[in-house]
Amino acid sequence: MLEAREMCVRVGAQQLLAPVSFVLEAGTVLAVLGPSGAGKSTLLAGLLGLIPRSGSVRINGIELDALATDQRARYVAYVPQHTELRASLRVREVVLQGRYATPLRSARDDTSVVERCLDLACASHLIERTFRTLSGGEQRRVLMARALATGAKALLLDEPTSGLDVQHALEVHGLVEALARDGKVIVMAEHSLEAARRVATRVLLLRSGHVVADGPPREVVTPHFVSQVFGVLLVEGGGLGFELQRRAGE
Amino acid sequence: MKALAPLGLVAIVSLAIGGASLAVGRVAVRSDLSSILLELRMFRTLAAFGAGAALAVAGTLAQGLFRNPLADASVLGTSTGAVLGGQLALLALTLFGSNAPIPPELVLPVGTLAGGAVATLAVISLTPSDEGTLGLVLVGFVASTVLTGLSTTLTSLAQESYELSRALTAFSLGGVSTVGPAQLAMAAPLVIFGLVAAVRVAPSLDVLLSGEREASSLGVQVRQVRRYGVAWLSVLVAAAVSVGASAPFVGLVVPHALRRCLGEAHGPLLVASFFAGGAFLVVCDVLVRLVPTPSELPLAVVTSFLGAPVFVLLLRARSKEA
Repeated sequence: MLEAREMCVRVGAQQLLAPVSFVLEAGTVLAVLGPSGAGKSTLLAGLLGLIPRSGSVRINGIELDALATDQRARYVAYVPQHTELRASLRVREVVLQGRYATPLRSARDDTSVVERCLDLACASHLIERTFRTLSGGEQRRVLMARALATGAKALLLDEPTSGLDVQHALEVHGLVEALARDGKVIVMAEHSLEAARRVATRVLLLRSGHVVADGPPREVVTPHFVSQVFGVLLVEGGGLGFELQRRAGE
Repeated sequence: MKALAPLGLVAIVSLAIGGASLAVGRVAVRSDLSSILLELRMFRTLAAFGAGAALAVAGTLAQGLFRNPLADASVLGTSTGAVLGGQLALLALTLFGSNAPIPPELVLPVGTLAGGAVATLAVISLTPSDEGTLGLVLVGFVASTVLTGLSTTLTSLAQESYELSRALTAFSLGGVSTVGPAQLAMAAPLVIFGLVAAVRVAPSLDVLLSGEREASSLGVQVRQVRRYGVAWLSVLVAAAVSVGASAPFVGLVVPHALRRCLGEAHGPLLVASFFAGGAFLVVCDVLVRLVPTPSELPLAVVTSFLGAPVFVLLLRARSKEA
């Protein structure tokens, strides 16, 4: 269970994120929606403790602020929208970074975990490739494998399908749903209303750092709120729907 | 062990080459002088190896800490601080002579270590705490510039004393010909402990390749790692300068060349840098002895002439691959 109580982010006199509170049970996928600058990434950074914040964040009853950095990494994992990794690391080495905070590691366990996480992320075939030569979608899946390698119960995903084509976006969403079924708590910052309605079990709608609505997708992604936050009209049934094609033999 | 064979060969060549022949039985050299020459060359070889190893490990550490392939030992102003400290020590030795509170052969190493430590601490304390790596590098650059200016001023003010002026200039340009056992005894443990300390932090450096934010989310205590790395980088650089080698390009060229064979993982890279950097500087010192000039060329000249074109070639090969 991931719990935020009156979590607020301020820089000097400016409030970037007004106090926000929620409780997420295992298996929840929370989509944090809002236009650019709404505070989505700030909320994720606050949950992770990467930026100074007030309020409290707990996971399974444990206060995250009371944990050392390496301990916290075992509870909450993060997949960035854009990675700063430019070095010529192999995919195997990148995923292995997720094991950094794991105590009493062995090389055999490392190998087994890396392979398992890449398999979960549908990226096993990339294991010996150089990370920076991968496409955006492939890199995103490798970073998700790295987050899974931490063993954390909560995953924070910053715009996980940003820049991906339809097929890769659907694959990422499929992975998110599978992880949620597995009992993980997922918090994902999203631009796509359609993705939020498809994947999320709960939606937090932000505007200018304030929570405008919080609840199930059908109660939040409505013409009223969409118009209020995004300044556009939501046309029900007006979008395109997609599904993954089944490959031959499946 | 096979990888160490070239190092052994380089060491043998270094012991064999010098201004005087070591051949026993010839008219010019007696056997006792031959031993002395061998001993002096051994000190010189060990000093060059130790300094090269320290500078290469420091360069690898700097590139990992600052995630900047152009970072090397000079980025924090430590090497210029150590040089200034060494020059002030030479000045003190000239003024106080045998009345110095510590043995004369230790004045120079103590001066360089103190100079390097003061420069590093000044850079760290002047960098605002909320500034990350970039702030540290910028303040280090400013410190380096100021310290170089002070060093030049000192050399210029010493013009009236020919011997002192010559000694200050020679020290700033680098050279291991006058290193004795006391200096080696002070520097050697620092170099070895520096390598061990650097290898200890290698897993954190591997994760830091992904940037500070991601590294922090993966469990790296970025600030502590940076402080720890900066401290040991300074120790390594000061140890190198204390044996008379502030040779440029060693900390840049050696890690870059090794990355092409070993990849980016810092553990093997640091150990390989230790041996390769040591061998590289021994080769440079051999070249110093081979070049027919009236007085020995400064080590910095040889490492620059060798290192700069090699570095350009490595950069071109890297951009072709990219």
